This record gives sequence, C-alpha cells and structure tokens, in this order.
Amino acid sequence: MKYNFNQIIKIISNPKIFVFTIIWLMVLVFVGTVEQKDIGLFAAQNKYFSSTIIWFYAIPLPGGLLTMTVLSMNLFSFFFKPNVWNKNKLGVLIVHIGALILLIGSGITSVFSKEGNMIIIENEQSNYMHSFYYKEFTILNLDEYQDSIEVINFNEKLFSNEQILSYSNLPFQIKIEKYFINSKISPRENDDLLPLRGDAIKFELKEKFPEKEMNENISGVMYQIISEDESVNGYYIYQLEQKMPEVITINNMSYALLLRPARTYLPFEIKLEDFQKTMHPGTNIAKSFSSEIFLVEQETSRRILIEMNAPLRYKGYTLYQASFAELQDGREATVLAVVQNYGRLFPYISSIIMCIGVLLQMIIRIPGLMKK
Amino acid sequence: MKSYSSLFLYLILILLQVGCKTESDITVYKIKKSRSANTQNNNKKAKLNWTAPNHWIQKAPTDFRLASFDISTNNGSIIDLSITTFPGDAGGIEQNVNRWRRQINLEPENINIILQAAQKESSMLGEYFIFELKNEINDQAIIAAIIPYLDNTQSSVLETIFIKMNGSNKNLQELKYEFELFCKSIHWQQ
Repeated sequence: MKYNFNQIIKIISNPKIFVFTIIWLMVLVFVGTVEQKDIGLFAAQNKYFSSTIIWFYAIPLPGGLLTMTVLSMNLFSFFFKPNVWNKNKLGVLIVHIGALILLIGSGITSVFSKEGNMIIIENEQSNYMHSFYYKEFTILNLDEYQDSIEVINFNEKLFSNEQILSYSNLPFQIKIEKYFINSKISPRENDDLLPLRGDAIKFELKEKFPEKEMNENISGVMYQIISEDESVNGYYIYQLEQKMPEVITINNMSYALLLRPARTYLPFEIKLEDFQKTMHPGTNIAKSFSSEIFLVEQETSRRILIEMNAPLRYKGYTLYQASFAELQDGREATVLAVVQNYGRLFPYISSIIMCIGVLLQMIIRIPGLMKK
Repeated sequence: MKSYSSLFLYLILILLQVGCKTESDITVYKIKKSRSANTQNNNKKAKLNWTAPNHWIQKAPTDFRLASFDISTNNGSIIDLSITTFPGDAGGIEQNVNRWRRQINLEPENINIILQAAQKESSMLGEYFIFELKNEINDQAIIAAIIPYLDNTQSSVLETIFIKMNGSNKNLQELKYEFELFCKSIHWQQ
C-alpha cells in the first residue's frame, strides 16, 4: 500500500487524534496530580509528563512527552491540508497557530528552563543557584592557573555504575563505583575494595530508600581514582552533606573532588543586606519574609526589596522570596527560588492569538448565519 | 507537492532536534580565585568558616577563642570544643601536643613518636594532623587538630588553627567522626 503526501496529512491531521490526545492529557494530569502526593512532585513529573512511555504493569501507555508530540504533529499537519488556506478558515488557522505556540512554549520551557535556589547569608553575596533536583560531580583544578580555578562538572546523567569520568586536562580518571540517590554513612564493615582512601577507610555509604521530595535525599557516591600516581589511586566516598571536598595531589597539583547540587551561574550577583521576617502574633509561624538586597553587576549595584509577592525579574531570571534559615551563630540567611524560563510569555501570547482566532471565525461566519 | 513534503519533513526534523537537545554532560569553566594564600592573612575581611553538625551549639566567641561549641553526647554529657588561631606556627606541633598531654597527666613525648601516632588529613587549607591523646587511668582524653596555614611557597606557616575538644575517652570517640568532618570543613571565606 502506497500513501501519497495528502493521504498521510489526512491521517495525521485527523481531528479525532486531537480529541483523544487532549482527553489522554487530562487523564495524565489527573493521575499525575493524585500520585504526586505519594511519590513527590519531581517523580510524578518524570513519570507522567516528561516520559514517552508509561508502564502500567506490562502495558505500555503513551507518556506526556509522546502525547504532546503527537498533538503538535496533529496541529502542525493541519496547515498542509488542502483547501485550508482560504479566508473562510482564517479564524481556525489562527486558533491552530495559537495552540501550536502554546505547545512550542511548553517544549522550550521543558528543555531550556532552569530552577533552583540561592541561599545567601546576611552581608554575603552569591552569583549562582543550586538545582532542586540534579547533582554534579565537580573537580576543582586548584593550582594549574595562577588567578583562577578550573571547574570541571560531570552531569548526574553520567553517574551510572562503572562509568568512567575523564577530561583531557586531568591527569586522572574517576570511575563511578556506585551512586546513591539517597544514602547514609556508617562504620565500614566491608573491606573487599582496596586500597581505601580518605573517609572510605573508616566509613562506607549505604543505600537508603529515596525520599518523596528529591531535595530531602542525601546523595552519595563511591568512586575510584585511576592515575599513574599509586599514592592517590583507590576507592573514595563522598556524601552530599559532607560539603567539603576530598583533596588529592598529583604532580604537585591539587584537585578538590566533590558531589554537589548542580550549579547555574547568573550574570549578576546578589548581596543580602538585611533579611526581615514578621511572625503571626504569639506563634512561631512566619507571616511574611522580605530580603533587602543589592543587585551587583559590573561594579554597579542597586538596592532592591524582594518580598513574598513581589519577586525580582531581571535578565530572564525571576527571584522569589521562598524561605529563610537561621544559622547557629545567630545570623539569618534568605532562600530565594530562582527560575529562568524562556517560555514564560508563550501562554499569554498563544491565549491572545487563540482568542483573536475564535473571534475572527465568529465574525467570518456571521454573514452566513444572517442569511439563514 | 514534492516541495511540500520536503518542507514538512524539514520542520518535523527541526521540532525533533529541538525536543532532543540537552545540555552537555560535561561543563568546564573558570572562576577567579577569591584570594591567594599571601593575601589571606593580610585581608582583615577574610574569616574562617566551617560547617558544624546541627546538634552542636555554638557559643559566643571570646578574646582567646575564635569560636566554641557545646556538644551533647548520647549519655547527656556536654563536650566543649574550641577553635583558636595564632600567627605563625605558635610553638609548633611538639610543644603544643606536649602541653595538651600535660593537661591530662601524660608524660611528654618527642616529635617522632607524636607524629607516628598522629592521623594525617587534608582539606582546602592543606594537610594537617589530628592527635588523639588519652589517659586511661583517669579517663581523660583530648582530640585536637593542628592546621598550619602555609604561604604560597609552602615554606613558612602564616597562621596555625587549633581545634580541640576534651572529655572522657568514650564521649570523644563518639564524636570523633563529626570532629574529623568539622576539621575538613574549615575554610577561608571573604
């Protein structure tokens, strides 16, 4: 059986596909929202909305990504149908364009958006955010450059067991022995891996069942260093809360190794001048928080107040007042949620376009209705 | 019609390419060194910072101590931990360790024996030693770290950081791992 182009377009642009995909998306949203309570937001997003296939026991079902791809192709192929480019269908065409823009916006958001948080102590400043969900294995090349430190980050996607992490500028390789999404540290019972180095001599990491919320997991990694220097070769452990790195020296060059939440650097710095919180009278429940900050960029700075309902929007980033922390020494720290979303305006634009399309189609059809 | 087919396929490919685009798995960048070893000691804004376990209660600094902590043990005892800094080598390892030995009624030892029993560690500040001293007769013990901060040439000590806790041997053994992590976490901060 041989199909020509028009036949293929007719199949792909079938309105039934649109109806079924929309219904299926509604089902996914409902089930994902209900299950989010048990498995957490991040896991629910991955399982239902970012996946191509969802396995219901042994039955494969289309995930959100696949469904939206089919929906996009269905809407897109509409423009290639014969006889749609005429003035009587102008409104419908515009509605399709609006819907496609909405889907393109969601695609851009899912691929390019970044979110995380900045934790800044009073009178200190920061120019990066931590990812809520993702980790990175970082190597700091401390000595090679006089005025700078080279930072080499390996993405969490590379943390499969036995994976070798290497970079041309490094005189050693890292072999990931085991990566734990959630871990606990305990005195070493097992000595079958030798030689053990650093904290691994006395302690070992054990797997813990992952928490519902990703940011509550204490990830850990057991890794092996492979180099020509036998004095550093061996097995090491590192747990996220350890915070300070393992430092190794090869050929008089020092390297710091650590696992940390993935960082995204911002094109500006935020200095926390003062953090204010108001409590509900007679309780320890916060009523409102606000951070008085300096936005520092290229040696100029300006004072800005970020409040719970008044975020700072700057250079594509939105900084919301999310939380706060009190340190043991009495100082306060602000927690700002940072979102960089290039697709932020797409829903507004597409809604306006779709409204225009619907109105236009109604206007186009008025003369016909009047005749009847 | 052929041109329509090509255009359609081309647009679908662009959509797929955008959909499959991911960030690189390895990222490399440089950050400025916040301070060099030589400037660290001269810059009065720089201060030592650390990460302490949540149950350690920090006390107000005093004239002699940079910081102090009260640490509760499982049997309800409170262990005092102090952080002090002195310019230069502050008398060196032998003199300081023997002073601590005398505090718990132990005889002084020579530097070779002291270093043989010491535990060598490293952190962002460089290499340092942890000393475990215990007197089993009176059940007194000290666990302390001496962290020398060297200049760029690694030839002279600019400053020495002392972290010390004392109490019964059982209590200190319970806290030893936290102590080791705490020492590792100490770093300079602008």
